[in-house]
Amino acid sequence: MVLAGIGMLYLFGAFQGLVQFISSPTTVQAAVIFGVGTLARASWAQVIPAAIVLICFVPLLMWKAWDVNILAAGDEAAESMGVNTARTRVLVMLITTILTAGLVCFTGPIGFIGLITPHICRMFMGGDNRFLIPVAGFFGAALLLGADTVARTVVAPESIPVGIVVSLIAGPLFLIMLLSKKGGYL
Amino acid sequence: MRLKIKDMEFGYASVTILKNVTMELAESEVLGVVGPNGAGKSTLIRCIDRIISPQKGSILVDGIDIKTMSSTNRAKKIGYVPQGVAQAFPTTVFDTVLMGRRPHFGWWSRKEDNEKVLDMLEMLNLEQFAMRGINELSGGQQQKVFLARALTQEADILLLDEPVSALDIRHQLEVLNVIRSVVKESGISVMISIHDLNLASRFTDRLLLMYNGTVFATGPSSSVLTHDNIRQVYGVEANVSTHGGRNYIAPDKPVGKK
Repeated sequence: MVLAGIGMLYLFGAFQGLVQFISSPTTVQAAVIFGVGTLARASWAQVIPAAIVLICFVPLLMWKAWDVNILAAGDEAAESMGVNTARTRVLVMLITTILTAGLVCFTGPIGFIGLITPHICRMFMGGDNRFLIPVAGFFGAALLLGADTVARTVVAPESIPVGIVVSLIAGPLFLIMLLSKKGGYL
Repeated sequence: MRLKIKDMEFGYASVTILKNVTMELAESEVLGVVGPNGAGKSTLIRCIDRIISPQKGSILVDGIDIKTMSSTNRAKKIGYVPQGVAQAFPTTVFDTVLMGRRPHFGWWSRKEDNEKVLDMLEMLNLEQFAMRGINELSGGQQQKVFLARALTQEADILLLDEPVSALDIRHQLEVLNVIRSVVKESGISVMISIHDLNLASRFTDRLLLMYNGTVFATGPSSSVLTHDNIRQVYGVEANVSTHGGRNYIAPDKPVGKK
């Protein structure tokens, strides 16, 4: 799984490099800013399509939350409890891909928010996805807005892209969590 | 008959694992599946729960072919505890057992489901672990949790693949006693694969001895666990003694070439 991800990363990195190579310098600068992730370009015109994606696909994800819980039991046990493991997996991956793409296309990749918040929430409230998905969603939103406030005020009147702030704070935090493996829930 | 299997055959591309398997499981019966490693015990159990699909033959539960059942309906009829105690991702004991209610409620667990989980934890003496992570329990306790999960599923047929192999003798007896008392109380049928021939003899109503993917012998332990059968199937010379109508064996030495 991880290796497949690395393969995809290189493949699309190559496409990205190619596009930047044949573009004008101003486009490349815009692409670089997009690449670190920022809320600076957010507008109400962008909120509407992003909200539509959320409203359509979060309920679908919640509907499958209970079956995703059961996948934790292992595939054979989950099958015996009536879960179609292959279908559930593909469906949930599809939903999360659409959700992620639908939001990232407006902000650029703001790393670690999606990686770190579910794990933090899991430590406090356990692994039941029926509660975890909405709570992690709200907590992640709050965390992002907090980081964005820092990004806009710390060197005011200049603002640094929020993606940089988040990565600077969350990167080391994530490594600490990984190394301590609290409760084995990470 | 609750479960009827006729002329079942299963194989992977190049090898046949099971051939001509015909067997039955009655109501309130505990059937022990015994046989050497690779005889096809686990494969047989996994075929019955359609984890894998046999190429030939039929498997009928209450007269209905399981091929035609939806996965939720099958889960209401058949419960299964796979071999080994590994869990892909740690969850609390309560949440783990609640998973067994999956075929019975859609998305939100009802009060009744939670109560059934608590009753089951109490019955298996697990209530003090309810909110602990399953990865914090010992192997024997984990096996009990998985048994609780399968029992909470309230299926008519319970398939247990080597549920006691990794346990100490005390936990072995506890787990097998729970299974016996549930069978007595609720009339479910249990099919249990088990390596320890003496435990198999002591805790089951009938034995199914498998050898090279076929049913070698079936019946009470007094007719299955005989000196000749043990010698032929396991390649082991053993002393067989009878106690309370059941045969017990004391293995002596390996014989012939396997």
